Amino acid sequence: MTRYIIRRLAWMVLVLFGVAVVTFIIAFLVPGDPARLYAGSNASPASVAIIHHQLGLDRPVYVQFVDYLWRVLHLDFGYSYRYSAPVLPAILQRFPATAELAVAGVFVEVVVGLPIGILAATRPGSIWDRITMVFTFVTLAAPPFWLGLIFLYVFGALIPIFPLGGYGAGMPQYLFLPALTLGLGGAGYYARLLRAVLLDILPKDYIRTANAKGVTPGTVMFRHALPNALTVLITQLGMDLGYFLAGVVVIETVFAWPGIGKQAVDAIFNLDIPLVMGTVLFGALLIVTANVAVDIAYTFIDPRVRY
Amino acid sequence: MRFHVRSVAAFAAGLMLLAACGNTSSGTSDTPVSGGTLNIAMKDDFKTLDPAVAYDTDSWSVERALYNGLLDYQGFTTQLGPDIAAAMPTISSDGKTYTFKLRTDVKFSNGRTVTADDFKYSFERMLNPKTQGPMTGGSFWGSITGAADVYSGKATQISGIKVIDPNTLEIDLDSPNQSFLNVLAMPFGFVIPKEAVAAAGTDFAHHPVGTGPFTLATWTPGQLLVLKKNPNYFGKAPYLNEVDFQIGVDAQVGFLRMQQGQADLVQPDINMPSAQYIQLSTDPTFKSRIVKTPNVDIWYLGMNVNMKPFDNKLVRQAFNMIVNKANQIKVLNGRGVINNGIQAPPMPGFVPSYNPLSLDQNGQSLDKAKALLTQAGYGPSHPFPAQDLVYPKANADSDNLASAIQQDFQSAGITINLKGLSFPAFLDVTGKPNTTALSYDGWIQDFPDPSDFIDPILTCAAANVTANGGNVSFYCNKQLDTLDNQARGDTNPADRLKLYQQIQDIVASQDFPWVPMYSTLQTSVSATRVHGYQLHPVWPLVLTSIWVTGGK
Repeated sequence: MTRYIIRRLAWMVLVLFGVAVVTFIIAFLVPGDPARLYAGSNASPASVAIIHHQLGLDRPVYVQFVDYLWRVLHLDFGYSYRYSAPVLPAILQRFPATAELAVAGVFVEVVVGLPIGILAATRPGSIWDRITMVFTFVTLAAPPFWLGLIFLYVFGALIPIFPLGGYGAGMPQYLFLPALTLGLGGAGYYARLLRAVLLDILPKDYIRTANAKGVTPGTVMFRHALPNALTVLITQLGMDLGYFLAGVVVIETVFAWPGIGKQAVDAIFNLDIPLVMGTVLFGALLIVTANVAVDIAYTFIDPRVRY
Repeated sequence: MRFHVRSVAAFAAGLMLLAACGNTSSGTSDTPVSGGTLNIAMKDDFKTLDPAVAYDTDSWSVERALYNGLLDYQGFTTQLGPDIAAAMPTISSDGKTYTFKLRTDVKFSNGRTVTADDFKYSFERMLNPKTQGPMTGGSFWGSITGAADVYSGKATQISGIKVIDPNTLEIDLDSPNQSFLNVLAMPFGFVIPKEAVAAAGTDFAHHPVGTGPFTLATWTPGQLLVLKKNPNYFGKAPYLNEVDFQIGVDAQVGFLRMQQGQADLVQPDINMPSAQYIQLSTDPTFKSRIVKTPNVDIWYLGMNVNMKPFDNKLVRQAFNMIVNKANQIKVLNGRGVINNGIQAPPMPGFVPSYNPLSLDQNGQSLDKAKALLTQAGYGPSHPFPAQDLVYPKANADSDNLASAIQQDFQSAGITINLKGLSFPAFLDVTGKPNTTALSYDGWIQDFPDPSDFIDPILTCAAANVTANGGNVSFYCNKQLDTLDNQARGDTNPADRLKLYQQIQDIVASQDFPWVPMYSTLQTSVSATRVHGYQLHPVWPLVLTSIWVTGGK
């Protein structure tokens, strides 16, 4: 186990290095001069040239890259061009809002997705199965930004029971709609996944045996069937972090939620390369860490798994 | 400023247009009441509140409330008057020395009285490369004697700025510049206290101290920026106690908030999106609350005179007769006026009926255009080559405006391929020589003076660059430069405007580096509890005239 963790951590470093390289290359391939954006579109070429120099953008690319890596190793992600502030504190300052939204989104996924999946799997072919599958189809197909705007219009303006976006210091009424938007798509996916896995598990011998012994349907489901489906779900949950980070970019923008997703969008539009690279690296670190955590979690969920 | 900057001016002929558009203040004729909080929904967070650095209207919206300069525009006009200066400056007979007497009752929000030393410090800091502001390098302020030594690092003090006594400031220029007073009124000329900059370390942007009617109370990045009334303000106290900028609110959601009473203004520094404009124009509650006023801007097709086929003047002249300018304004829901010149409507020197090519009411003359193209050697045996039209995807209207151009040229037998780019990419490819042949451009004022529509975008100096140029046509005419230099120093306003008219003729009826198309109208709307809200000809937002009734 220890060797496995060390091996995975080494992989983590390699993956993050790869992400840093790719992000850096992309950032330099994107057309546009950050110094022009920084200075203002009306600034004279001479002014832009001076700022170009001040930002260190006139150094050879490889020098900039080595400098960047060296600073990242010291947890210095550089200075945001747009906000003239250190990148890492800017990300950390906004991360709690994103984390809060992500956790709430997972909660919606689980609370909505699992019962629907169980309902559909235990009554395959029934009207309930059809209704739930239509529901999951709609939630999966609906683009989050569209769904978010519809929710805002219906529940914020038409029937004003929730605020029209904003953070509100994380109060539940502000969190509800963005979390619902973020979680619904995942809930549909989880419901379908759980239905498929359970349809595979429920005909198995040990389930039939439990039923034959007179075990209640609830116990059969929650003690025997569901734990065996969890491995698949947990794997998916680990991979979902990437989906969530992509999702929050859109949802934070629609709901004026002050997280790292909204900040990243602003950074991209303003060619704020240090902030873009910092956010991507931070996101990659979260995803890689989550995947390692999921691998470790297997050993607790399924005693047969050993590394 | 280019794009994303709201601006207007009201002068001479522009006043007529302004009156026709009805820039009346929103609200009723109620007696103003003090107190209350104004809530403003903003899409983007503020870049900085350091006046030496900010060059965007979002930041200027707040800076205007925090700081003051020597001069300011009087009321809601483009007429300059004294602000911290006690009176307009005395100007030497050679037009090169400006002497300002300062008011003695102006205090920073930290309680200290403003002196001439503070202006000297503020200007030198603004031009110092270490400040990383956009004015270093020569934009606008380069004519101050010794300024170049500061931004080239040879000196830390500008020899041309002299403190005669605590209340007298003298500024020497290398050569006369009739737009220098406009330059001084830009936010880069706001005064800040040295000790506050020192106390803030490298972060004065988030800890501003100024002399304005408001002070910064809190700024939570990405969420909320709160301004409070400044008890030390030297002018007439604002009605509002507090202004809350709700940050990160998309325009669509912002207007929903306004209709629900959760916001009073939505992104006042940019034009209303078409969708909301159409919706609110028919809304019984809000249609009378929409305010409009002319922007000091010009939108045009830039043709690179060094690239084929636009190196042929006949082609450029023909292109000037093909675009249906009336259609462009229709796409903007009527929020614009046809402009066949290079000056913007409410600016000194603008001629409303200017039409040197005798174009029809749509701004076209298709038969003449076809004849010119034939004369240029194009016809059935030698069809005109398809052209890429590069344009910025700035907002929801961008694609529609470009598509309308495409159709206009299609009707003249010319294929135009649309190439929409992000704004940074657009600036990149249009700012480099020999890179973009045809582009959809706009120029919005830095200040309401004709020089701002020539110096940065039509002179040889602006064309002779390797990157980040504003002269997208890379057009250079020495005669124009001579007239421009002459106009810059001409102390007779009427003669000066005649020189600018000659320049306009050279561009619009002789050399044709552009296809001038239209100038826009700024539109904005406020919630029903807001009174006294007006659009300013220059500033993106003026808070001091606003009062609110009801709410917190």
